[in-house]
Amino acid sequence: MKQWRKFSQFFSFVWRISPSLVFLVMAAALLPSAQAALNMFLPKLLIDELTGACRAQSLLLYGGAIAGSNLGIALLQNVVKRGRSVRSIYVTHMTYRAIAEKSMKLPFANLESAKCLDLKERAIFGMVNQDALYDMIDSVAVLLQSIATILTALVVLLGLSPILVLLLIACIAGNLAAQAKMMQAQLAHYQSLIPVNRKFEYYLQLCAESSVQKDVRLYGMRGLFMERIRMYMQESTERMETFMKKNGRFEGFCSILNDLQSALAYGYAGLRVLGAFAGKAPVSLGSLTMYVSAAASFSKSATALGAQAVRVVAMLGYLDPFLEFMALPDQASQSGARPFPGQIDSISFEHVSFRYPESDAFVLRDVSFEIHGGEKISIVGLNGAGKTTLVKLLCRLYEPQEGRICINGVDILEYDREQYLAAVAAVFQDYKLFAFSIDENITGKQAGSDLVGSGSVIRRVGLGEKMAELDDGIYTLIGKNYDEKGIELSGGERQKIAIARALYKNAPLVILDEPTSALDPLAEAEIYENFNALIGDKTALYISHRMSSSVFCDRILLLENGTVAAFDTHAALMQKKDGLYYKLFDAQAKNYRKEG
Amino acid sequence: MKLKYPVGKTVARLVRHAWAENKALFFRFGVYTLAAAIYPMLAVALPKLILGELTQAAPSIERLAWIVVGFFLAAAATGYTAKYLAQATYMELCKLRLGHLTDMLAKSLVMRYSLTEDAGFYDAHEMAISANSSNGRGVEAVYHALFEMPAVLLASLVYVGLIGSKNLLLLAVVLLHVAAVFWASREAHAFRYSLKKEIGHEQRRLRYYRQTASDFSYGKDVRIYGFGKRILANFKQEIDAYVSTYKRIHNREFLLGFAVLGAMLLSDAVTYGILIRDVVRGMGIDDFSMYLAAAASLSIQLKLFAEKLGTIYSEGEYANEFFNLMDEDLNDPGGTLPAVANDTLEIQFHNVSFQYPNTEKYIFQNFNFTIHKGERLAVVGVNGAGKSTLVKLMTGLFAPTEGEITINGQPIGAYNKQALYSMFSVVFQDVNVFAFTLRENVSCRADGDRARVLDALDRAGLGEKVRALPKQEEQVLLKVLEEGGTELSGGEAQKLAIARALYKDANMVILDEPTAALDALAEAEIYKDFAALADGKTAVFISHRLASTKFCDHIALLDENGLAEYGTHEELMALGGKYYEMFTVQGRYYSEHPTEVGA
Repeated sequence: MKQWRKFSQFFSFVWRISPSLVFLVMAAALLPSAQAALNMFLPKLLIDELTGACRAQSLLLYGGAIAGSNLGIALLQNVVKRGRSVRSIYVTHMTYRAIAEKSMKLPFANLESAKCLDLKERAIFGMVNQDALYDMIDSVAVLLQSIATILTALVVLLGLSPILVLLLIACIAGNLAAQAKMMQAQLAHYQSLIPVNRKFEYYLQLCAESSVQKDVRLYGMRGLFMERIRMYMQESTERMETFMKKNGRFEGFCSILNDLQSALAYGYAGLRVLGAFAGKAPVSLGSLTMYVSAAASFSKSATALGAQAVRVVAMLGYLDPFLEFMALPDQASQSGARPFPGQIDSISFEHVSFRYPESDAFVLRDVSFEIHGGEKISIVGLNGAGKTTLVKLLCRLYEPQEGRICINGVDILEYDREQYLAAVAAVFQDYKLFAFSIDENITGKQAGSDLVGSGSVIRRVGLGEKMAELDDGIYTLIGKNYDEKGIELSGGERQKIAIARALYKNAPLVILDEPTSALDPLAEAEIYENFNALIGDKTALYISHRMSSSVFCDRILLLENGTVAAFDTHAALMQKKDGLYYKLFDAQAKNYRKEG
Repeated sequence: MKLKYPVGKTVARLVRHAWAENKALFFRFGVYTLAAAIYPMLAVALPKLILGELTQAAPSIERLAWIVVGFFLAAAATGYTAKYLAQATYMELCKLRLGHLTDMLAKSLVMRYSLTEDAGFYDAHEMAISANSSNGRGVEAVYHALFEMPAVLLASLVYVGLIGSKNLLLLAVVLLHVAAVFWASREAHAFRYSLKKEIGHEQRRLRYYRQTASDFSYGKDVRIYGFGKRILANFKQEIDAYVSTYKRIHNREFLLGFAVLGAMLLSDAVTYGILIRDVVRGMGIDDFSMYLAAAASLSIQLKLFAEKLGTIYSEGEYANEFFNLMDEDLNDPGGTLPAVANDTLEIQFHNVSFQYPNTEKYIFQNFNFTIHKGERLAVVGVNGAGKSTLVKLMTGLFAPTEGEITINGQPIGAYNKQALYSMFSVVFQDVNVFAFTLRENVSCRADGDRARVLDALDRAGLGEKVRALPKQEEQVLLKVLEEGGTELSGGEAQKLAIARALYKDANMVILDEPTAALDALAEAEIYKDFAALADGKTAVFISHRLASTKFCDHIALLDENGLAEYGTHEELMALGGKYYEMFTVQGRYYSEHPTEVGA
């Protein structure tokens, strides 16, 4: 029942993307069944005519009918194949797009959950490596075809002998039993192979990874890599060998059963032609070919039916992560309704505690502080103190378990989500640029829709000259892996574009999380010294390990192990010689002070 | 037809490899070929024999029974043998491919480092690299096709003889039909090939969207900057373009299909026409059914044959490219000098110019510079001044375009490459943490010494953390392979890299931007570790954090034109140049302001 629900979920997904594919699959299934039926009847008529009256006109008719039906069905098959191939490609890629769309709509917490990441990876794995989507559609087509053929053959064979049908069914039952057993073995085999192959693949990819090549050479790691690869390769092939031999025995057995069915059908029909069974009328030679052909179709289709049923279940297994992923709830349902005022008078954290969904440890504990509109705040602390987490909460990427965050006195969760996010411009330390044009990366709009705006921020972050150097200027695509004409930018240039993007948004709240780590001292100073001018009276939060940056800020929020250790001006914090802030500052500052 | 590559030579080399690796395989192959050729013929013979018996003047039930039993026994034996051997031998063929793969990996891990940074190298050898990537591709595909093809050919020849001796016209139309199928598929392939560039371009873009659009690490920017709609719209556009290209291909296939249909109709009409006529003229119905079955079977076998031949030809090209790559000399073993023993290094650049392969821009031009024995040198400079390139040159990862680098007076090229690499302990900004045990991660070998590893970890400041782990130094890192694996923070990863450098205990030490992502205290600790690492050795510290200059003897400031300033901190500050400017800019808010406020 559960399988059936998954099955219908899958087909309604395909139906939404492309109803015509579903129709084409049905047609593709029924054509071979029609052909099988014609191949039972038409040769019978021809042979009976040849061994009987031998009328020229009838011979011509039957011969022509055979050639004509072959032609007609082949033509229809070509028509269906054309449509189906094209629609399959479309559906396959639209499925990747659907996975992408889902990833964009998920609550952000899912994106940092190892479980959800794993689910998505498995969803894609099933699609890419197992070709589950296409195989599933294909299996269903063969399944339908088998059922139609079985019904036709059954009608024919029952006319000859129910006993023969029983004998054939017994053979088929043996076949199916063997198949079910083999399927079990196969599943168990692949399950046991997954961890081995994962290790093998890991080391294999490591060898091809460009970033490790320096270490491989300078630290002489070749031996270690090759040892692991040989080890897991051997383990994997040994398991595969055992399995393939077993599979060979199974396929050999099925082949024997198949031959037994042919022998039975021919033997029985032959005896009937000779009238060997008392009380049963002898049959014609034409009928013999018909019965034999029906028996062959019957056993072939019954075997295929079993195999495809098993395959459908296996494919459902591969599609399972996909269906589960697509069924995850969207973010939109959690959106608030209150319009965002568009201006920030105050931001306050009120007893905010937070831990990540899959963790027991609180990253932030009872955090309270208030920022006034227009203030520039530096958030300082050791790695792991909770700085980035605090910013993520403010960006509504997560929601606190306890306490609330208010802007202008209202819980931020009450604001309309889209309007709220429009008011926040954040540059994270792991910011991403897309392989679009530089312009699109800054505006997020169709390229060229606001050249005045994007051009102005590009100049403000100091990339104006660079744009002038490029052939396509601001239309230049970023990155070569998308388009040959794209360019690779340096870390500093990329960071500047990310900052330009934040500026372009012109939001009342600006957040910079480690924005200058890839910049050299001069570029860094340029950003810091200009930034206050760039953002004017907007409210701003900075996170940086360069302690000097906090000197520019109105106040410093010092986090220690997830709690607020201090929230004061630079001057005041520097008075406390035993405080963490002083220590952090001094650790760097002493390197710049004159000796003595 | 002109061949794109030497097919015969490639196949011969594959077969020679198989013979050298696995002679028993050839015996299995012989048995398989016989069984697989005979098996389908039995299905043609059976109706002939049965109908023959039934149309005799006095048919006998006993003979009928013998025919059926005989068929069953023969079919069971040959069918089982063919099916079993096909499966059981599959992995033997797969292992041949894995052998090639291992050879290629082993070669790639010692090839010149410059090739690993050369995208052009990978593009040029894409076919060779993918030649061993899967069961159905390249080398292994050819092995499978070579294994299966002779059986198909044997069966085909028997049918050709059977039908040809009956009626040559009959044989001709069957061959014509198969030829039409083959022709149509070649034409479709050629058409697809003519669109190769477009398809490649579109696939590349689609691949980007497939990977990026659902990449969770893009999630923050997608949400905060509302990039979702943009991406989905662009994605859809690419899909539509790709689908419409494929529509052209499938439309072409459809049109070509009419030629096949015509040939099929002709073949059917002639086959049935001749056979019906012959029956009317007195041929037995048993022969009628046999020839019909033989014609159908021949058509199937020939299509299979063409398919296998096509596989050998098209996939063989991958194998050929692979062999070409393996024949190429990619290694740079260097000279014969052994590593410098019991001494640290002095490195001199003599008029060195350098540009990365296939680029125009010079990173260095006539660069002259000495790193003195035993000194601690800070290398600073703006982005893009070539700081990291300097490391690659002096460790021998890249060779200078012009000029010479000497180590302790000997040209760098005179040292054996492995020996050269062994003389440097280098710590990079991006630390590679591997899913090995800690011991292996530090020692970089399977049999690393436990005591020395722990000592290195202690000195790098990770000892305490490691001893607290359940399996201590045998703990596996990362979670990719083992759920219980340990993940390291950025600072810990840096320390691991330092432990690695300590364990290696090479003649000279280089740290390349190791502190960019660390907090101030962790940064200070790395500076302390540097002192331990550099103990008595020539040491280079590369950073755009000028603080690092404090504990170095000399400072080299690089800019776009090479070495701009060189001297001690005091000298350069007195010089009042670029270093002075950078130091004051970066230090301004540390030195002036706080000391005034604090003191």
